Amino acid sequence: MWIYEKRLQYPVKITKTCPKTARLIISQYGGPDGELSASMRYLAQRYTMPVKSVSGLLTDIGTEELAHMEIICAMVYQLTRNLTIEEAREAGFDAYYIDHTKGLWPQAAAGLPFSAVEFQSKGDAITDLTENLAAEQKARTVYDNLLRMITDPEIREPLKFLRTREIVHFQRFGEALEKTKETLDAKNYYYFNPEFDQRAADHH
Amino acid sequence: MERQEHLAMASIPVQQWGELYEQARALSIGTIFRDLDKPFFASEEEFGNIPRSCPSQRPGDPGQFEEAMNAPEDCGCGGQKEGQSESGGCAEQTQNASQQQQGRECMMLQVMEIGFLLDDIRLYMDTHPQDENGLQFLKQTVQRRRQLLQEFAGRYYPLTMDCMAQLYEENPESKCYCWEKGPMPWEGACV
Repeated sequence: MWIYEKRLQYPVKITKTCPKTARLIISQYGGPDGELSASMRYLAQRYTMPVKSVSGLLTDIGTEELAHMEIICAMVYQLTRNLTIEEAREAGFDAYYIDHTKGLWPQAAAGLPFSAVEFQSKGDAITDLTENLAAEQKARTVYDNLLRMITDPEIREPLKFLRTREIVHFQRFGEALEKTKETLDAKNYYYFNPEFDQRAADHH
Repeated sequence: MERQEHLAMASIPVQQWGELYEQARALSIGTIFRDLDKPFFASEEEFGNIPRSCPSQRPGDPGQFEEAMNAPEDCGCGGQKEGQSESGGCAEQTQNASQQQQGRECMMLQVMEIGFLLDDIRLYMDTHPQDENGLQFLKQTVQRRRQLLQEFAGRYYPLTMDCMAQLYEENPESKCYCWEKGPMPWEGACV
C-alpha cells in the first residue's frame, strides 16, 4: 500500500528552459543507475529477504527512491515546459520531441529506454545487499558527473541533495548487511542461501 | 556493537548517534547527520547560491514559524469565499508572487524540512531500532509534522487524504478536494 503526499521531497524551482540539461538529467529517471531502477530493485528484493528489518529498510528506501524519481521528473519537466521547436533542434532534443513531445518518458542520457535488465533481484540476501551498495555508488557517480558539468545553482541544489542521499543509503545498506551477517555463521557466510535453503538454515 | 571483519565479506561500520543539523540545513544538505555529510569537491566550488529566504527561518528556533507567517490566505477551502483566482498556469513569475504565495511557499518549505527529518531518521531507525536518541527524535518530529500538515491544510490546501478528512470533519460544508487546490508539486517556480 502506498499513500501520496502532494509535495516534492526537495524543492525544485527552475526558471530557465534548457533541453540540453534535461537530456542529461533524464538519465536519473530512466537510466541504468536511475531512481526508477533503484526503487524497483529495492521493492522487488523485499519479498524474500530473510531479516524482517532489512525488508523494512528496502521498503523505506524503495519508497524514498520514488520521491527522488519525482524530483528528477520535476526537473526535466521544468527544463522543457516552455520548449520551442528551435530550442529542441539546437539542443539535440529533437529526437526525444518527435517521440514524446514534452511528455515524460524514462530513458537514459544516450536515449536507451528504461529496462529492468539493468537492475538485479537475485534472491540471495548477501548478493542483493552487496548489489545495492554498488548501486548507490553508481548513482552517486552519476550525480558527481552531473555536478561537474552543470553550473546553474537552480539545478545543482537538488542534484547535491540527491547525491547525499546515495551516500546515506549506502551506509544503511551496509548496516543491513551487518544485520544479515549476524544471522549467519561467520565461519562461512556462504554455506547456504538464507533466502532459499530453509532446511539448511533451520538445522544450522 | 561488536563486529568482526571476515575474509571474503564486505564490512561497513555501524553508525553511532552524533551531532544533528538543524532542519533547514539538513534538507539543503541531504542528511540530518553531520557524520554522513560528505560533499563533492565540485559542489564546493560555488557557482552561486539560491537564497532560500523565509522570514521565519531562524536557526535554533525551528518550531516558532507561525508568528512570522504573515497574511494567511483564504484558499476557499473553508467554503466561505468562492471564485478566487487559482494560479494554475505558468504566467506569473516568482518576482510577482503575492504575499500569499510567499507565505504558502514558506510554510511548504517547513513541511518539506520536517518531512525530511522523518525520512532520514526513519532509515536510521530501520537499522538502529533500539536507539533511544533516535526514538525520542522520531516521536517529537512525528508530532510536529502532524500539526504542521493540519495547519497547512487549514490555511492553504490538504497535502494528504488524512488532512482532507480532517477538513471535512471540522467543516462539513467544505468544498475542498485535494487535486483542485494549490499547484501540482512539480510546477515549481511559476506558481
